[in-house]
Amino acid sequence: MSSDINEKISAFIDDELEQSEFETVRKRFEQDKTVQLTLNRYALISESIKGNHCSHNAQSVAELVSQQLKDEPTVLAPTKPKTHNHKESWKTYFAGAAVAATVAAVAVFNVGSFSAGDAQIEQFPVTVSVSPSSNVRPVMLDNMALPASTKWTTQNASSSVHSDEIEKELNQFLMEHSEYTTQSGIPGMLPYATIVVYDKQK
Amino acid sequence: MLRFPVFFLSVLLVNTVFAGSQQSSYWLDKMMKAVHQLNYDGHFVYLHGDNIESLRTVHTVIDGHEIERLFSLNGEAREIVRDKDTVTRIMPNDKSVATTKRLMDTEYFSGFFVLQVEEIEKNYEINLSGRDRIADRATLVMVFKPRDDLRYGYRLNLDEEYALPLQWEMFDQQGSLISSIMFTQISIGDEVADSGSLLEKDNSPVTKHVTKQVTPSTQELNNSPPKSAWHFDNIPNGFKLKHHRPTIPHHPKRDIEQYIFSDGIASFSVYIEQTDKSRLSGQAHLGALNAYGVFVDGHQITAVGEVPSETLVFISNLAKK
Repeated sequence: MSSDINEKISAFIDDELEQSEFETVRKRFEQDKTVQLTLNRYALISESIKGNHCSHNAQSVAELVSQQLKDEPTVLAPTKPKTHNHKESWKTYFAGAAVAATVAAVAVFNVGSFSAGDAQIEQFPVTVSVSPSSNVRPVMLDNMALPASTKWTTQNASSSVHSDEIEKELNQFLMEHSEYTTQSGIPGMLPYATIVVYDKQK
Repeated sequence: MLRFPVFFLSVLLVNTVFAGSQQSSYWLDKMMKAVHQLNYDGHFVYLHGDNIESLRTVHTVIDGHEIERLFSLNGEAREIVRDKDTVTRIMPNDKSVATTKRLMDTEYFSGFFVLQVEEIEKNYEINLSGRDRIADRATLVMVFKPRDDLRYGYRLNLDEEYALPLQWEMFDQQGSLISSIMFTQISIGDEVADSGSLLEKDNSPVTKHVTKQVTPSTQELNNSPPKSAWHFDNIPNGFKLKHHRPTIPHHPKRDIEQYIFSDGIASFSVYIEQTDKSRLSGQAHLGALNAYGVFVDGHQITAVGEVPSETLVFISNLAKK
């Protein structure tokens, strides 16, 4: 599925589609199971951002949208001028989950926005502030260091060694520790998830 | 007159609690098996602090051996692959691969953190609190409410069919959500096959291939933890010293000891090194993970784990030689 339709789905949840785009999404939605799944996924992501939970009895978002499409024949009229009426109705189904859907879309689909030749990405800058007064500077980690996806923040801490060394050491301690926690299956995924994610703040 | 009804109610209450405990035990046992024995391929979001990340995990079991891949779907492409022998970190944009031999003996550690309800219930109130729906699948909600402020609370959404945890949430002492992992789409079953690595997909040759082999110590292979020079008196309620390692593989030339504590769910490690330099002194945070360092009598003590900072501070100051 192209990133274009994904962006449109995100915009759909964000209530930012033009009428023509809305029709495109609607057609794809009716014909393509993948689009329905993506819509489900985006809506769930949006809900998770807000800390909301699905109701046990709730239908899937795709089912709700399908039902709404059936109930709202005016949307199908191609000559109907753009109004906000049909859009407002979507909001009731997403119950506030639309907020920050753009963030969700970025979170899911921005892999392609970074190229291998991007010098900033290849440098893996990591910042760590060991004390409030210390200078924060980007550093290059060696190859055996963990992916520089992690950023430790400190509070009233101090050190006699450089901050990037502390950062590296804490990451390695975390990796060592995660070998044990992953067996339980409950919090086990957390350390690895923490390690593998990309630090957008870097 | 009231004696019989009171006795009857007491028996009923005990039976109800026992039944609840049995149910919790059943689901936790089923979850442990599901996590390690099933094939699944899912997308999940990981919330920590103000950040949200999107990842994909593919877990397969081939000839009884697990292979687990974890991909980052946003930001720079990254992948961690775990199999029975190694942990591999792949960074396609950096054209690098780092492979480390797994630090533990698989057979020995497969039961390292067995979830025993009787033990967990000493530190958490466990409740099956209804049903929900995650990733378009029906789930059973299990809540672990901590009995003190030394650990975080958890809420799990277990798949009703397979008992896989489809959502995992961690709450601080005030009940505020501090971290969450939630699947948004998942396939479960034998039709799920190993996905291959990001490198294969991207067709990008690895120009820098770094391999680091770490061999567990003889003592570790013999499953006999060495004697420790350090001891921890009055360990916080419910936490137990689970394991001690005299050195850690990432720093073979430095004598850093590792002590691993757990209460059955939460865990943390304490690292101790003799040094003339104070390294971390104070608290550090990474998402829902905390660290605390203190310099004592020519030794750097650093604690890392998914427990409140106060717990790390407390345990770090207990270390005595």
